[in-house]
Amino acid sequence: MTDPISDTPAGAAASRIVVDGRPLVFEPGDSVAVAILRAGEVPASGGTLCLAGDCGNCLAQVDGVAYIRTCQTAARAGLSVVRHPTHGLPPLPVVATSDPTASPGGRDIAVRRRVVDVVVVGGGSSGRAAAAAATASGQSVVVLDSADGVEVVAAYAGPLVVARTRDGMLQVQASEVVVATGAAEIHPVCPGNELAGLLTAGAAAQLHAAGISVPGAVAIGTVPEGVPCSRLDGRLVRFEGGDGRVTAVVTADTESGTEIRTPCSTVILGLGHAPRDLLGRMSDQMPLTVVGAAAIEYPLPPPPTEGVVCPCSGTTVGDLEVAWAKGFGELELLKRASFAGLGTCQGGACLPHVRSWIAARTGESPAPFTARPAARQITLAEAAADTYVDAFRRTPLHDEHLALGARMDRFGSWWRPWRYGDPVAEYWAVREAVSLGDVSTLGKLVVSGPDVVEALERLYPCRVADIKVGRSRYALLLNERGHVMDDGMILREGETRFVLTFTSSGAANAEMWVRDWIDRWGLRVHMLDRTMSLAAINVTGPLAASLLRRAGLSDPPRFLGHLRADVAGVPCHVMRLSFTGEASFELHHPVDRAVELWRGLLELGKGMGIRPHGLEALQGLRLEKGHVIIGMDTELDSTPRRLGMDWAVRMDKAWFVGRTSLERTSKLPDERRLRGFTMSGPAPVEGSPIWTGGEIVGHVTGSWSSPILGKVVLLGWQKRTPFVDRVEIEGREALVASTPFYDPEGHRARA
Amino acid sequence: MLWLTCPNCGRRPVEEFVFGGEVRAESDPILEPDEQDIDLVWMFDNPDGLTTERWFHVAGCGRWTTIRRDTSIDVEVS
Amino acid sequence: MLALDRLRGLRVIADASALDAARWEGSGEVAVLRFAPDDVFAVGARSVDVDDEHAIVEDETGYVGAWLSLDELDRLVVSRIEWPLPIRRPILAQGLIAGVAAKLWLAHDGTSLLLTAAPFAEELRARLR
Repeated sequence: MTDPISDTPAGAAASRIVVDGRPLVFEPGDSVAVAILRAGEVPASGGTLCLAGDCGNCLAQVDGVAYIRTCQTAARAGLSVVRHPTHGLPPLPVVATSDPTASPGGRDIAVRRRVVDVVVVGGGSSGRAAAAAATASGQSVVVLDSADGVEVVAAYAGPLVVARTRDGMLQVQASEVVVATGAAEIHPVCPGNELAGLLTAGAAAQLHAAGISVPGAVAIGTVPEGVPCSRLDGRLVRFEGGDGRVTAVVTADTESGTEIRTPCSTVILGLGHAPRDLLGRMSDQMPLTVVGAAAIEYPLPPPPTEGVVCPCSGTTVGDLEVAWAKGFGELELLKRASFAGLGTCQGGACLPHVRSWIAARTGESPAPFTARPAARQITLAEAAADTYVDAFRRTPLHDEHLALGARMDRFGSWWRPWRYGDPVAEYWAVREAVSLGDVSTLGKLVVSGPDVVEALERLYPCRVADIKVGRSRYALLLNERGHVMDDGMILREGETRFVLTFTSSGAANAEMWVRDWIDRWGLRVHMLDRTMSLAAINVTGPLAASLLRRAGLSDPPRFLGHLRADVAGVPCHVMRLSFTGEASFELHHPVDRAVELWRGLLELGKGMGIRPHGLEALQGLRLEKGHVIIGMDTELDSTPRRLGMDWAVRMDKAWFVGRTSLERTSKLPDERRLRGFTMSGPAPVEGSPIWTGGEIVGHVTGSWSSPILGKVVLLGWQKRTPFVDRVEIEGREALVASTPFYDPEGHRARA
Repeated sequence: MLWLTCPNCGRRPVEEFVFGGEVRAESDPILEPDEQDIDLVWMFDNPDGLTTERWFHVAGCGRWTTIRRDTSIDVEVS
Repeated sequence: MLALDRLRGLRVIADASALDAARWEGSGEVAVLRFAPDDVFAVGARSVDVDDEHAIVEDETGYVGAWLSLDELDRLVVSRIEWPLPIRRPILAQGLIAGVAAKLWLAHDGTSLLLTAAPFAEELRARLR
């Protein structure tokens, strides 16, 4: 591919831009649009050019970015311009496929911040006057002027004014905003207004000042001073053209209505003004004043009768009529229904015409519509400047997982291993040998204090006072509505000290919840969140206890017991519970010792068939046990009864959070239940509808083709129709089955 | 943009906080349950104007604070 | 790239008055970071004498950090926080830095300790390029 720049003689390149691959000479001070017009071409396919940034008729792709206002872009040597296609949309830039595991990249767009008393938008005479007045009264002022390449994008409550500048984004915090952005020129609305060769009076004056002649020009309305052209009287009727460019204009005598056709190659339109007050219409929640021409209530143009009203969206007068007839009889609704004003110029060209059109129908001119950021097209990079995606956390074993070939994915604000290789092999290691799972992500809260038992009795729907030191209990956490928020273990370490565990995704919420209630009750309880300070490894499988003995734990705790001991030389809080259905020991330990413990256990387990398991295998293991994952199987309004977990609620307790609501709802029939099902064939996709008699009665929340049971086990929601035992999923029969599907008596977990 | 004052950390943008809901003058629905409690857990005042709210400074000290806010202009008031 | 090293010390949750009067011992200098009135991370501390029988006292290894010069603070942190840096020294500032929950211990001598919970270390390091 040849570079058109390098083909030109040295020195000449300094004054050329490249338009659609061809070099074009520009003069100092030219905008891209003016440079293109200087060459006798047009920056876009057509439409009236204002050269003031008010419309979308000069948009082009500049240096790879589409929808750039070429009239507001200074010409610069080597700048590459590609005109948008006449029909259809400009192509999206091609971006290299992003790696989901990579950290978010650098911030390419710089952001500067300023804090001032007054921010003035617009550097014209009224803007300068407002700035001088504020300065004189001792206030700090900043003036943002598009002439300096500072384009204001938005004014937010705060107030916060955001602008794009030549070297990044600018955020100005101020106590007061002054909008002094002047007035925009009225665009013509009539047949043929999409043709090239139409200029506002201001645009014509600008070209004249730049030494660009517009031959064969006629003018309608106010004629710009000094611009050679012949002025036509009468009312504008239509433009006529050939090859996309205007060749004649038709006007009508204001008295007789007689049409006169005038051949021409350019039409200059001095049709009046409208306030350029977009920024003043973005929020009514801030101290903001509009001054100067932007505050003038200019007379509206005559109501349009034919032609394109909104050049950005291509909305015609006919489209307005259709939408109005459908009942969208109000400006804000008409905008949404017809798209007039929803385009890149946000009503800069069409708003006066649409208001006038409505006024002609209702007898009242409506207030202009609310404006939304961005007032200027910005790139995604500019919009995202200085914002950050949520930071995903890594457990201390992250690099160990990667070294073992794990596929990592994001779950509840953490990176976690989904599978290391064959998830079925990982599954069998748990069921028949021993396996390690990284459960560092579990929430862990230490609570201690004289009122701790009282606080936990109020917070949890199960009994707490009778948990013995060294023992633990599974517990649901309910909100005031009696809906299940989270679940976990309550482990008693002393008379006045407990450890609470929460789910990985629910931990942050649960900790806030516990703190909130204890604060409000004024109970004397100290709380320390250990979630990010302690790692945890789940050692699970029939050989788990043997492995721990090899690791120096001579007397592992029995089911639901817990103790502190060294394992493979690492101090651990060892908790005996089970999520997988096999004997399981969670080893909670300081994060800085996690790699050592993980490697030590894998080494000691050699010859026992040890291998780590990821979340995919864990999904299957827990489904065989019918264990519910809060937030995955449950919904925001899931009561314990709907989950079949009334056994975890002691209604004989005087009070606990959610008790009043449960008392109420328990008297009502339950309309939905989370139930276990079995079926043959492949496992249905999660979210699959569950059908009964041609009606959808629920959906699958988790499914697994169980290697040990030789059939599919799944959990799913079922609506009372009444509760039938035979349903259809993916066109196949599924039968309700009691859970756990596997080892219902729980012998293996207690073994 | 809304800024809130954390008693431990100072004034911070709202992104650093988690909203904890309205604080209401009614008795504790957990310890002193009565018939109105079902309404209390479902119905909020949601006034257009002054309200008292709980906010949790999740990106800072990790503690709750109670704040007065004017919802009509989205500004913290003392 | 910024090196974030593991910080070691004691984490103590206790009554505020007990923490005010607590006596810390460590091999070198102990930086007492008051996360909240009832919450201290004493970097470099090995033992503490705190008058609260229900105090939670734990070895803390869950934070990583880096000491920054005044220039590094300006270059790496100041443009990535939306809130103003406090003027007073020494002081602990807590909030989002480059969108990550982090803390700054601004010491007397103009240096500062930037710290965050260990699971955020990679994210913070990548964002402070």
